[in-house]
Amino acid sequence: MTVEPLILFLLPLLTAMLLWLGGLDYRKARAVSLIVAGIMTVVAAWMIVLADTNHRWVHFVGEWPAPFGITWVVDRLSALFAFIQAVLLLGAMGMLRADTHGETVSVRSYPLMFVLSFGLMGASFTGDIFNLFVMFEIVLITSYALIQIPGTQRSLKAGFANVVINVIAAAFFFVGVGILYGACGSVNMADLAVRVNTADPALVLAGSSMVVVAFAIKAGVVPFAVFWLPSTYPTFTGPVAAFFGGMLTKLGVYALIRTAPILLVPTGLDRILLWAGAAAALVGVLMAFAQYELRRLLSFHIVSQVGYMVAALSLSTSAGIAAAIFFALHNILVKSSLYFAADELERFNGSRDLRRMNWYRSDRVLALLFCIAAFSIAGVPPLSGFFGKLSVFQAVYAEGAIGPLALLVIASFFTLASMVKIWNFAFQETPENPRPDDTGELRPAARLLPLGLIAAVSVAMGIGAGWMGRYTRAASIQVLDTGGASREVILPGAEQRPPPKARLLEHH
Amino acid sequence: MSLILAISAFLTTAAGVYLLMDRSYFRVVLGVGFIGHATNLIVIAAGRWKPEPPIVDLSVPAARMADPLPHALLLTAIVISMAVGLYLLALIVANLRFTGQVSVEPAPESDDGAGAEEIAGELSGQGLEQARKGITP
Repeated sequence: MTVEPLILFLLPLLTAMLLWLGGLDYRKARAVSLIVAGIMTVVAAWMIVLADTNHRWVHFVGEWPAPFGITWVVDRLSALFAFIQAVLLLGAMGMLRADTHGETVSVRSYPLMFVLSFGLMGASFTGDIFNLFVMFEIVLITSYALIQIPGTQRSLKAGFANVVINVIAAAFFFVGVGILYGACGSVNMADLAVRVNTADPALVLAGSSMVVVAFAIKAGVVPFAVFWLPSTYPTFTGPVAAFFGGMLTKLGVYALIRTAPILLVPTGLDRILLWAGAAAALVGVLMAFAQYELRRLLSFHIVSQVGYMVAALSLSTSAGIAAAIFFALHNILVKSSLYFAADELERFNGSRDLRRMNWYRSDRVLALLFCIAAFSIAGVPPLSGFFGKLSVFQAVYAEGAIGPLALLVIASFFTLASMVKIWNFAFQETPENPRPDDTGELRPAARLLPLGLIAAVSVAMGIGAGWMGRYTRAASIQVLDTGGASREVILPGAEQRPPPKARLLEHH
Repeated sequence: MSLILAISAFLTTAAGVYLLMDRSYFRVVLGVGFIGHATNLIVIAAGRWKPEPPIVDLSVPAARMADPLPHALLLTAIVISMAVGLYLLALIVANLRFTGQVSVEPAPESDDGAGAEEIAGELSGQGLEQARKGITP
């Protein structure tokens, strides 16, 4: 593996520039976007195979050895997230079409989606906690712009709240990184993971808890984000909302997984997160169940699903982190499928309210694809959701955390119930929702091809759950192996250097 | 020096949080700016503040030199917070054009969210206003 991460990292940025500066019309912009997203998907799939070794791919920017320079590190976890992002980008580009969302909206969204993808790829590959902050900022600033593309008053209002809450999260992140640097004398994650164990525990706890709060706000963990996330996501253009609903909160989860050995394990914050995650799972799904606006319902669902991942990863065991990775990957695909289906339903019903939807306006292919996603998220056996939930439950049970386990199981029941609710309102013929005389217009099933692709990857994850389970387990062992990371990334001898104050004094 | 930094960071954060609570959008933007500055002060303090610039000069003892890394981090954060502040101001202007107001008005929360009108507005990319005028793409 030499150029693959660089392709995934730089290609979206160059494409975004081309789309902005090239002045391409809708057709050309769409063709370029689809081709580039396709190339990224293939490269990322190949990278999953290449990353399946115990050696991390490390790139030292400007040949400066770590921890003095910036590093890019690719391991199994990064490769998995890069692939899932690329698939989702391809799906979202495919679903964002002029005939359903308008030409202006599409042409304005394509380059921004590529900048977003650049930020996400950068966040997956960086080996440096400050670069993680910068990549988060790139993702967030793009999201500020994307949320305004529909140009409605509602998006303005949600956009303002979104910016303010994320600026506060960024402030927490930045202060946390600053304090960790002050305590440990490094911002390189492989280096930090070793040095937190010898640094001043009070300072490390202060820094870590700030960074964890920032990640928790971004991931939508219950005490922090239950009020901003569900009012923000429904205002995006449909396919963009699907990308966000699938990917953006999982970026916070990815960051928590990546930094678990640095921030959670040495400080004991993981015990708090376990309960926060389990509570999020239940609170989120109960609030979702009360909604009638389709995308708001799905947004509260995100809060619930993130709860499962946070509960699993906060166990800090290799089984727990493997379960969190598996569940996150499954959920990214399935959640965005549900959003895509919701967008189609909203467009053809001319309303966002479930109570105004009518079953005859949705066609069979859409119903089938919705069904796959809904069964998967509820955890019906042959699909990926079953294995995701099973591994989360097993990991939580293995740690003897019976209270959180009970909350997760109850939440799981309401997940199924809320899917049935959507089905009853949008797809089912009922006495209140009778068959009309006209059958409505027929729409070509080919428009759902990108959604079909995402559903297919999700089904493949369920069928190949054995392979995926082995891979995510290996990825989790790699994440927790801080000694190995330090050996591979850090300049030999540099990990022994004293913390900053002592280093400055020795020249005196 | 650390004490002065700590007290000023505390005061700046307090001012920022107070301004964030206000209904006026402008005050919220000011509050965001204050919080940004407060984080910069905290990071300077956490990076062990020293009086001399970190330029190799044998007449200056190394113990008096500042650590350059927190300053480099700050530079990035300052640029980001300035850009975000400008973007927020642009949002305020857009909101002013839509509603003629620069403060948070109590929004009528309805269960059905946006109706067909708004979905039609999104189609044009020009928003609700155009949809109300009956212009369809």
